[in-house]
Amino acid sequence: MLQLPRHALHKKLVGRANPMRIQLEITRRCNLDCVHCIQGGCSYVAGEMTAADYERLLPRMSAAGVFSVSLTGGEFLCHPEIMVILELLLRSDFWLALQTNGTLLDQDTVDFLARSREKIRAVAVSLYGATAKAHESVTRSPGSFEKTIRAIDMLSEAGFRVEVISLLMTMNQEEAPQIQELCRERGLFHQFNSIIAPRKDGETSSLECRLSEELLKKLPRPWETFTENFIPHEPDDFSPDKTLDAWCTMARTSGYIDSKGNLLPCSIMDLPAGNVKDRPFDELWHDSAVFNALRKLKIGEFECSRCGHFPTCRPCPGLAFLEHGNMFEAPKEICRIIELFLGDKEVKKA
Amino acid sequence: MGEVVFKKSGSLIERRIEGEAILLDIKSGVYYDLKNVGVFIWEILSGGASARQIAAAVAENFDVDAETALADTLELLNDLETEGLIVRNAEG
Repeated sequence: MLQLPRHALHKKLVGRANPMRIQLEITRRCNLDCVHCIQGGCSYVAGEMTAADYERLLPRMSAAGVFSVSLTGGEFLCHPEIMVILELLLRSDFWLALQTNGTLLDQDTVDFLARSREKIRAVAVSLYGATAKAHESVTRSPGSFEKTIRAIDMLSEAGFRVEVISLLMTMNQEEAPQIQELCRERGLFHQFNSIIAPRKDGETSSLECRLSEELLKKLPRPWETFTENFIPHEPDDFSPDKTLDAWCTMARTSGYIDSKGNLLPCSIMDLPAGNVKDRPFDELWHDSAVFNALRKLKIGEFECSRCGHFPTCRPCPGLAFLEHGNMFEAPKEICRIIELFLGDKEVKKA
Repeated sequence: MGEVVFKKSGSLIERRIEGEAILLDIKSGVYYDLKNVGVFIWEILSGGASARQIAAAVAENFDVDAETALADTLELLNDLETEGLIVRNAEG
């Protein structure tokens, strides 16, 4: 049999700690000013990766076995050399996904991307409302709604799979049905979540936008609190003595390279293996003491593994790291949301 | 009528991982893997080749007679073609 089911592939690659999916934070710059932004003010960061840096990096990622690359930011289109970087990526043999607010996409850029459409798996666009008032109450950028909708329509017209991602907060939660309707009318894939994480710099004012239990209950079950669909698994994969293979892919098959070139386990776990400008990607990936330590962690070391909702709920350890500075704790915001949908947790007895 | 030449499909991303060839068909999102003789044949397909040429190379490089090599090659080519991983074109 030639086909390799996802489960078999994951087992094969995770066992070898083979990088499969890498997110590239192309830049931290952004043209919007979203209230919830985890980056904590998106502006230029000294030492940003250049097109020349990516020209050196991409062949090393390919040789290391990476199949998929996601571009994120900030807003990746704000990088001053973005068209050169896109050329390099589209010339390389990666399956790409783009995450954008859409406001900087013009017809020329969409046409440019469409010439390599087969290589672009999906374009995820952030949308916070079905009206300018709601959307811009989040982006704090007048005119952004119209530009984002225009980008969604241009991308759809060009044949891309457009995934609309909506974060629902106090100021836009009433728009959920209208956003769903907008997506349904256009035949777009849509998902929402309601997890507001603290900013990476520790600033917490955005947490005031979190939805109350009363408001959360009015919404459908949010997708991000349930990870069971992300990684194929078997029941035995969640024994306390097992490593996190079926729970979390960080530093196993997935990783994150920030705008300065630091190779991180994931987008929110600030534990760099090193910098890809100083050392080749594949060497960092395989030799990093931090990554190798993460690969040895056992499920039983995590508070979540003793919860009655585990492994139906197996939330991102990175969220706990961000919220409590400790990845082994249960991320309390996820617990709050999960309990609304699955009921009070029963702690398993040892 | 020329011999049928098989070539790799243009919609694949392939990686070598510890001697195996892992292929991702970006049209379907489905992964495939090839091992041993399969990897050897896949390498030959990079430049395009007929079943007869591939089978001859297999017989020369592996401990197998020509008849078995041809049967195994045809079976793999059939699988690869069914999955859309290779395409055929006739050459004179």
